[in-house]
Amino acid sequence: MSGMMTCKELYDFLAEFLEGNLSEEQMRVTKKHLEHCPCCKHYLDNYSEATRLGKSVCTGDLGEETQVEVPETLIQTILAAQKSKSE
Amino acid sequence: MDRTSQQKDTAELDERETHLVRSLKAGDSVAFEQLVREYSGRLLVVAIRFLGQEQDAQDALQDAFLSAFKSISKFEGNSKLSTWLHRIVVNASLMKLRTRKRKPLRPIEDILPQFSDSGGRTASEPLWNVTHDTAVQDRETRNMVRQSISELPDSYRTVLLLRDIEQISTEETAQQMGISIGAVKTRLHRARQALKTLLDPYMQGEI
Repeated sequence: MSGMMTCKELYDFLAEFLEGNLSEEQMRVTKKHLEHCPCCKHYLDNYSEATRLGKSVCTGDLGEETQVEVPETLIQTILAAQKSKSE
Repeated sequence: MDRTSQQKDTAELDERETHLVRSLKAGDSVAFEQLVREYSGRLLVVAIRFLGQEQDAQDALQDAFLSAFKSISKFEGNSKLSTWLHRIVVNASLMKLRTRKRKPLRPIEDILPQFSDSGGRTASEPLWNVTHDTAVQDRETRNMVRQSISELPDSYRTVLLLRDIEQISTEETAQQMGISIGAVKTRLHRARQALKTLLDPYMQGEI
């Protein structure tokens, strides 16, 4: 990575940057770019929020949304399949 | 509820689960029906998340229960029964994904950020005007996020679900999907980028 970084390069390194997996020099160049580029800073924040939201809505304790109603026909199909296997 | 009541409830649940597992190991068909009725609702949600299509998800759920009943003798109680079943449904969903006829993929490039030849962005990037807590508490937003995840191409959605939601390591995800560790990292990054792009119009108040 050169001393200067384009927005495209920053986007490529974003995940590694957030996980702290870049070298010291790469981290320095990335942080410097973010200080001077509001567009990339906003992208970083929005990307992080999208990732966090994905985790929260699929794993959070959201009551009834963590279950769906299962058709009785499906329950009966599963029970019948098990019965025929064990016979 | 006070602490003592909570501990009592937990102990009763543990005892109930131990009894259920014992009956399942004995081949009790009533216990199997109880298992199916009690856990189907939450497990079907997991299968739908991976497979999208209701019918495929139902098939995966059936496979998962048959597999669970077959291997219940190996269940040693090191994890909760629900955790063990959850993992079996994830595996059944992955198996279904491998074998089902592939749908024409929406190219991921269509939902990735675009750049000019000089490497700059071709569009502006307004900051989402929402806090995490507010977004999570809003049912419409939660549905929008789930809907957006379901719109990701299969191979990207699967990596996102395994890594970010199921918290499976990069190495195991690579093994499960038969791809390299580098490919897992790239797909995860692109899946998150695409999710962000799909959420942009909603988060920026355009829809």
